[in-house]
Amino acid sequence: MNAQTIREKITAAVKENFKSEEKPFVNPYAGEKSTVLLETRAFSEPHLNAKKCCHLLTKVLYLITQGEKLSSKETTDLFFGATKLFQSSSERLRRMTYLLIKSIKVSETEVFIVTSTLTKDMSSKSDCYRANAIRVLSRILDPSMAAQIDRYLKNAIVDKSPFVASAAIICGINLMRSAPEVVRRWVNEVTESVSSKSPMVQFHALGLLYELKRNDRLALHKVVSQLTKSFGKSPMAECLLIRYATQVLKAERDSALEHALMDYLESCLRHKSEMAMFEAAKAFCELAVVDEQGSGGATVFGYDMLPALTVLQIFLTSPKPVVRFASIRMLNKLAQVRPHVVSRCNVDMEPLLTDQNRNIATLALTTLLKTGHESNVDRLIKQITTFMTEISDNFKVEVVRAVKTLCLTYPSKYKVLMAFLSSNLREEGSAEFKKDIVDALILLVEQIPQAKETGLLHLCEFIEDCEYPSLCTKILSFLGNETPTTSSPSKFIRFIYNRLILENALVRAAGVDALTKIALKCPTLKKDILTLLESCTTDNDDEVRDRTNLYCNMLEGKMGGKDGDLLVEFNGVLMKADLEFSLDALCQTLEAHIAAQPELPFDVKAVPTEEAYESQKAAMQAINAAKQQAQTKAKEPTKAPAAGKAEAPSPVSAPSAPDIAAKVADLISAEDLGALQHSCKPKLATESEAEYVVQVIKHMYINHVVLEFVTTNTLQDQVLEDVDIKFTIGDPSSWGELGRLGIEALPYDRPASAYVVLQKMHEGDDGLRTLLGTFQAALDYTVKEEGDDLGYRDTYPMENVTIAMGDYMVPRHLRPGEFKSMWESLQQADEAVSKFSLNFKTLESAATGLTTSLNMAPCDKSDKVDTTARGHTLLLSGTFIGGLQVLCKALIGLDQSYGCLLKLACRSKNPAASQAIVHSVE
Amino acid sequence: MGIIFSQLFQRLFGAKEVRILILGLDNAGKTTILYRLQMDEVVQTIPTIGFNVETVQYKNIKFQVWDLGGQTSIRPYWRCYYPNTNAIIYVVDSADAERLPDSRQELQLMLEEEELKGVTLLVFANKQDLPGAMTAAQVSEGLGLTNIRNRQWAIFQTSALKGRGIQEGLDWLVNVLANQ
Repeated sequence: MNAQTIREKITAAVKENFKSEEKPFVNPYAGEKSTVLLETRAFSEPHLNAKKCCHLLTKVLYLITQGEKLSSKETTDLFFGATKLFQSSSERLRRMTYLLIKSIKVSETEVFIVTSTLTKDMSSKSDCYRANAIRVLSRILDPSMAAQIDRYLKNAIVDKSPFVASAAIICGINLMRSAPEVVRRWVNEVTESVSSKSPMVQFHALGLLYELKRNDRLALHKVVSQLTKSFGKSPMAECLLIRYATQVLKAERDSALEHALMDYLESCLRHKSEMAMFEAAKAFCELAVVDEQGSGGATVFGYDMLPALTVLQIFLTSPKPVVRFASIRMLNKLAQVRPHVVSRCNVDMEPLLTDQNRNIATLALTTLLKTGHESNVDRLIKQITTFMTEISDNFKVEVVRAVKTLCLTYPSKYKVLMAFLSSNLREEGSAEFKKDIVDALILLVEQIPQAKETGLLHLCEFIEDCEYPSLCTKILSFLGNETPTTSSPSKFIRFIYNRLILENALVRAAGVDALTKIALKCPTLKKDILTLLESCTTDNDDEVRDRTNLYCNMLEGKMGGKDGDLLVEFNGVLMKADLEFSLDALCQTLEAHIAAQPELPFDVKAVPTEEAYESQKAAMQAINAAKQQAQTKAKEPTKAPAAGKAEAPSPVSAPSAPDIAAKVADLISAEDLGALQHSCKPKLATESEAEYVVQVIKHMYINHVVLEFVTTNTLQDQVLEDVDIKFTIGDPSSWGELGRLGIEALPYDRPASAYVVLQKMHEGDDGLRTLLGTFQAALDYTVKEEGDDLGYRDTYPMENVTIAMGDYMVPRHLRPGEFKSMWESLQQADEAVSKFSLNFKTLESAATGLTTSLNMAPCDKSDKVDTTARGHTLLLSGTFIGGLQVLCKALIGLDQSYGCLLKLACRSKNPAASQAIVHSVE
Repeated sequence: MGIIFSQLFQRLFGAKEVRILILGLDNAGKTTILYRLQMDEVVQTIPTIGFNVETVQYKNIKFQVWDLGGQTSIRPYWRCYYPNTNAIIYVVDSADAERLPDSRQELQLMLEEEELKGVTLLVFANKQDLPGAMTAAQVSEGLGLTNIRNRQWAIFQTSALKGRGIQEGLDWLVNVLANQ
């Protein structure tokens, strides 16, 4: 009888056995939270039953791992109950108690109760007590306590029992966060443990050693390169070391170091353990991404990629699915940067298309799509088509992306690839998936001229039977833009017209838009389209009907004379992709215009941009809130706090545009002042705890700047009268003072504003009217103390008021990913670039400094600086005075000999503005 | 048969189990007393952050002794350990006359607790080896022990360091508990 038959017999017997008692499995540890917690009262019984308590603890732990949440009272009760279990000497029970204390989140003010007990267990004779007590301690130690038991922990690291040693090292890793200075004293012990015989201790010690050295670059390099030379490491530790070596290589280019570490990585490719071999191969692939010079070529830092690829290639044929998966996933990543190198493995990847594991199959497919050669595109596509029905939507999206890139690489294959995409449009799939395909098709139409008509026809076919209105409108708008430049636009009109008859109002409106655009660009079709639009002039949806009527009138040229000019302008707006102004603002301004002066022509340029409008609205809301607050305050004046100076000044909000114009009407008429562009954030001109607190708000106009000094008197027993701003202009050729408004009386804790109106004396060198300046200012007033009628005149100095380039800018927040497309849409020719050397010590401070000084909004999370990197790219967006959209790309680098270096590139539609902004950094 | 017999024997003549709390202000000598009880040795102690728990066998009674830390931050948590207590050993530093009122207040608060109603109280006027230590009578006066009516109590002059007086105190306690 061989082993196989024995096994079969046993299996059969076991099956038989189970059948006889077909009771459903009941989990002995499952229970309701309240019941289980009630049962834990057994912990406080005078005579503990260790077995019962163990069972109960398991039940509680089961509850917690099931995701049940305990309230803080429940946690407290449970914790104090559990502390009573320390009286038992049962080792099993003690171990469970440790586990429970680690698993529940006891508040810091309570958990310290077990400190004494744990410290005692830490010097116990039992390995189990020592190790577990250390593990729990590492979670609850505060730095001062850690210093007290430092000696015990140090001994534990070199303990004979690997269990205890590992626990102590893990304790060190945990303590690195709270008390690093304690852990740093253990360097010798940790270093010793790295060469421990136990693989587990070795692994943990290496981890801690790295943590200890990671901030000291040179020491880290020394440690890593030393360790790579010693032998006899466990596979786990080896993997860890390979990762550290990779990180060092990524961070620093030093040829000697590079040489040593690359030698090491190469030697690891021949390691006995599969795991370490893979880790080394992975390191090569990751470095291939970093080493751009070797890109395309088959080398990494001068070392041949071939051995690494061979390892991955062998793994592709491994019987273990996880090994195959790891290998194909790595190749997939590598294929994104070096498709040619990966294409060597094509032979071994193709069989994986039929792999039982669909994840492996999909990765193989998307890799092959990246590495595929023009000649086998057709074959690949045939294979995917059978494949698509079997994979999840996430992977389908992957495939679509891969096909898109493949098509861009081999444009001549567009027919097959587009047919594949379009056939998928007809299959069942999520909206997300469909949207991706449509986006892919649109991109291909834009990028590959010869594919245009085929692509458009595919899209037309899709909207014939499309259940997603948003996709339909997207395609219709695209058709409206693209079809006029095809050989026969009339071919597409039928498809669009069908939408007008068959679809809902949203799509119909988009269809009307598209037809009108075609008619405007193809005069020959105008007549036909007008006939088609006829049907919609009686549409039952208001929007569709209004649009159609407007367009029809426009196309028929019924709007002549003065309206004709308007028509041209309107035409331009319709053809443009995005509006320069906010629609809500347009509506509001139009209403105001009709109410006030309907006889005058309306100027579209006076409508504020989206951001300006939003900020105005926010300011308006803030002022209303402040007014309400002031009213409630006025109602209860007796309740004024006696604390006096201790109270911080409340934040001041910017008043709305008409408000300011009205306030300074005595100095300058609203017409001369023009429209408010924006108001800068309030800035303190005194210390926040000074006797008199002044905040300056700069209101920016095209030809003027209104400075508002919001002043608060924080002295309870004083009243200030005739408050005036003493104001000195340093450069009268640039700035002129039009006038000042003071404050009559300033009682305690009632903020009031004084104003200074400045006029720009010339247009500036670049005609932008972005004059800069620094002004001295001081408060000038009469102080009257309680019971004193006369008072005396006094002045109070303020910090200088500066107008910097950042004041002409408003941060404009962009959606993720929007920066890139907007950056590319602006002409490179208009770009202004300059290089600077700055006085910043870290990348982070440079990034924040630049962001605040330019007063722009960081995009795509580029304000998050990776502190380990040597360089950083900061993306900024803002709206410049006059509604000009501005984007900046800043490359910041730290160099030991030159300090902080900055390359700043700025793009906008006005080259002069871009120049001015770049130079403002100097 | 042998097992049953030994279990029976154990029940008849086996150790009685009692639960005892050692309480008192910080630096009164509670932990030293605990280990004097357990091992009859003087151990080097550090301030107890939390508690120590040991089992002590004495004259056929198994004492489960809880020594709770005396620092102000820990005192609020004493009450978590009150239930099912058979006796309290309250330790006072006899050389620290200044903090005797504090000690009195803590003791009074504790004795008012419902869960400790009727529980036997044994007071150790500790650190008698120090010069200027107060006598048992002085400590008793300072703590207001004479007003206690509703429970059995006693006070002993002890020195945990020299091992004096503890044995006598424990004998008294065993006597009281055995008769309960």
